Amino acid sequence: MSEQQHEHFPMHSHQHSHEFSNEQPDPAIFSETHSLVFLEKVSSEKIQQALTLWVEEIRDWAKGNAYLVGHIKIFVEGQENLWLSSTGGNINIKYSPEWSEWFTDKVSPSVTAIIFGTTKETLGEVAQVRLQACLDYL
Amino acid sequence: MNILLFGGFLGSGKTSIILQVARYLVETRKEGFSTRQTDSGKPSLVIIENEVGETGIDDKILRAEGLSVRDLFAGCICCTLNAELTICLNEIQEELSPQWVIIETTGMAFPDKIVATITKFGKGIDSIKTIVVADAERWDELSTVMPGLIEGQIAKADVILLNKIDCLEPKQVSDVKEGVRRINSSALFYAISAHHEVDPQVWREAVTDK
Repeated sequence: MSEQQHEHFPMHSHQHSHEFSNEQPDPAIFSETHSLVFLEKVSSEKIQQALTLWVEEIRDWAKGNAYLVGHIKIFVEGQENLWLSSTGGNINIKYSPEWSEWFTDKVSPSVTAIIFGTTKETLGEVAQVRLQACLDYL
Repeated sequence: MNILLFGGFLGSGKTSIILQVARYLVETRKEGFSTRQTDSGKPSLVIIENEVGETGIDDKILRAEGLSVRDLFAGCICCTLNAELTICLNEIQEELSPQWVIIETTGMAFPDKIVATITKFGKGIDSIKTIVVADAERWDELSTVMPGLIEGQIAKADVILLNKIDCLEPKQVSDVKEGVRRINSSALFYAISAHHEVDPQVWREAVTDK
């Protein structure tokens, strides 16, 4: 997929009358919650690998196009919890105490990517396609 | 109600810090009762979570810790959702009257705009403290790419938490601190790493001391 390089971020007013600059970049936002049900139980390790891959791919896609990452976050809600986050560098991984031992046949990941320099449509398309590919791995 | 208004750019670590502050407040007994619940069974700490996306994540993280959370999604409480914030805050006051309300703003918000709104329209507010989290790791990048927002967030903070200092060398931390202090020299300032447990003394001084 080829992307156009953005040298300047699109600006908008954000409705502020402020002594500082009224204009700030308008980020593209992708935010969804999925309810996944598996035919058989899946290990937390595999879920973590799949979702970490998505964060890496969005981060690297943003970096490759010189976009600024606001943040990329995932939170997996269930009996156990997983929290992944990145601002364009390392991926921070936090989880509940029993996460590593967990096997489950259903899980609800909420995913958000806020990226400056691209459009909502472009981010949505890239994020959706790559998320589906990562979830297909499960 | 004592309001702690958390600002700071996206990814600066607001939610991680709020988790620690909330734990501190819950564990700190004030006037003979814990801050998680009063004798009436009502929570004494309520968090208002504002996120720009349609789906929240930070609210789920906070709820997973057993905290009481109200959501304001798909907009920013310093502009498009400022009326909703006032309504939400006044409902919390009428229904729960908690000792503490933590407001987590979006990373795009100007906290001083929010202070102006709730000072004018909020009910039952005893104090408001603006705590802004600055991202030490991305300070140079962010203050270059969007100086108006970064400076606007920091300029009127009561407390500045320079987070992620573990990602920098001491000299770099010192340089970033200098840059932050040039924008706001009067705020209480703490250099921290919320990746680790922060000294409770910081929370006592920055959060609960008047």
